[in-house]
Amino acid sequence: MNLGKPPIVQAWIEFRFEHSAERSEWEASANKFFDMFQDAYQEREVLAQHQMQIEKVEKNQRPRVVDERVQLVGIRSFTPSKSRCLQLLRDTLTCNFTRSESTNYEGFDALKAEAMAKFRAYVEFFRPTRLLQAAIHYVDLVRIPFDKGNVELGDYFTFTQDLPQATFGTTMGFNVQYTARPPQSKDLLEVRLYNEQADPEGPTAQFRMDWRFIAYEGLSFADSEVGGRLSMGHDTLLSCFRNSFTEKGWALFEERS
Amino acid sequence: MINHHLPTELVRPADPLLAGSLNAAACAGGRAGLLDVLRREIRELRFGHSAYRLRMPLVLHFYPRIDGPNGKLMTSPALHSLVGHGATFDAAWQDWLEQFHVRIQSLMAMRPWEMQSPDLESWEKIEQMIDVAAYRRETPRRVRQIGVISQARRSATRGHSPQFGPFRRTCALPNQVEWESGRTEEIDLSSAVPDFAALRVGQRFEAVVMRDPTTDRLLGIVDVITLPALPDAASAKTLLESVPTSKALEPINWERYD
Repeated sequence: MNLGKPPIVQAWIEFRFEHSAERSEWEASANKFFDMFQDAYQEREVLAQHQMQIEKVEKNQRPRVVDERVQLVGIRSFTPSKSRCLQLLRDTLTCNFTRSESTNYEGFDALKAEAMAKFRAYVEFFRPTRLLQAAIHYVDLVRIPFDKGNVELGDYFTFTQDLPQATFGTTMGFNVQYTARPPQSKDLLEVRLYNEQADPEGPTAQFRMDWRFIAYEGLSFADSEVGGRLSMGHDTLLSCFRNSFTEKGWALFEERS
Repeated sequence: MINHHLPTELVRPADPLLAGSLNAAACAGGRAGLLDVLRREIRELRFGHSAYRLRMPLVLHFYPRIDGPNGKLMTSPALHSLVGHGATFDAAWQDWLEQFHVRIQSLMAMRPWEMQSPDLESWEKIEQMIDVAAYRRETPRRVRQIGVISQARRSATRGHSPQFGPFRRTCALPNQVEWESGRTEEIDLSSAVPDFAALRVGQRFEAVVMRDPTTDRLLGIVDVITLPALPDAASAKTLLESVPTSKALEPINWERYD
């Protein structure tokens, strides 16, 4: 699929693992894991979450925060151009590819190769007991110039329709989401479509699509098994993506032969 | 077509392991939201000295390379026509913040009857997003005031010199100001600029002071410039008398001009 104006903004491949041991020293070992890729992934960030404990109060008393802790949720590291990111949560490894100032999205083959290399490194380093889940996530931004202040959804998308205006009035926003099981598959496919803030330049309506393929049954650590499932997921997502647009919608992306 | 034989699978994944699904991401802070490197959730807007308290978290989405190398930053909830521009997430967020700061400060400087229709619409949206009353309540007022050091607390240090014997060194600490309005205030030296500490009793000065907008309490002195003392009563009288008046002029014969 060769598109002149591809809508893809970001894609990531995500692996979720099960570990047998208690991982109290997880932060320190996570840092060592990132040290192995320091040459390519240089800009490290931590993802923290505030946890608050609030004490019960009697009537007429003000609620009181008795304990507040900052918990490290994950670590992530970017390449200098910010087009690639490696993320590590307590049980999850993620490889993100995004468009950046200097590059377009690098494509599924590059993403899969990078994700599988980091997957192998993770298994070697952390010794998980099981692969619980492998997922592919795509984020697309579809930009449609307004026609007399409106965009008819049915003109562009096949799986959503406008509400009857006579009854509902003007549609100001929408958010549709489906979970499906692809034919002859045990995996799941999810798609979510909603309107993002309109761009005043144009002016242009903007629609965000989140596509997610999740494989979670019969997974092993074998490269051929995981890689094969990811490739199958990618093909399924591509086919569904193409079929979610009308011809007028598809023309927005200027397909090249 | 909805398959009514498998209702649970259509609504949400049946497997609890699928916590990373879009269903979880549909709520702010979901797992898929956490893994999205082009998304951030903001709980307070801070720009320079201004802190705008948000009524609900602001979710930022950055979309790179939309306009050549530049990307655009959208927010949810969105402010009409406010989009951040920049090559990176941080640059676009800085641009959005600057635009937002200018817009809110321009609107705050207006009286309601000065606002045109787009201004009113914009202001209404800002009030939905920001606790404006809290901003006004919590942001110190900066005012220029003229005053005189009216009292200096004396602090004495005792010591012993081998040559002159015991000594007592005193130091005057400026700790009270009488403003032009006649109001007298105690000054905490630690909340004033260093220059203030060098002022002596009777020194007249002009200061930029920060005051609590609700109680008018003095929060700090951020700038101070010394002023010459006002002339005393006798000098003022002499000055007044030195000003030429019409009495000094020769009488005019108006009939000459008839």
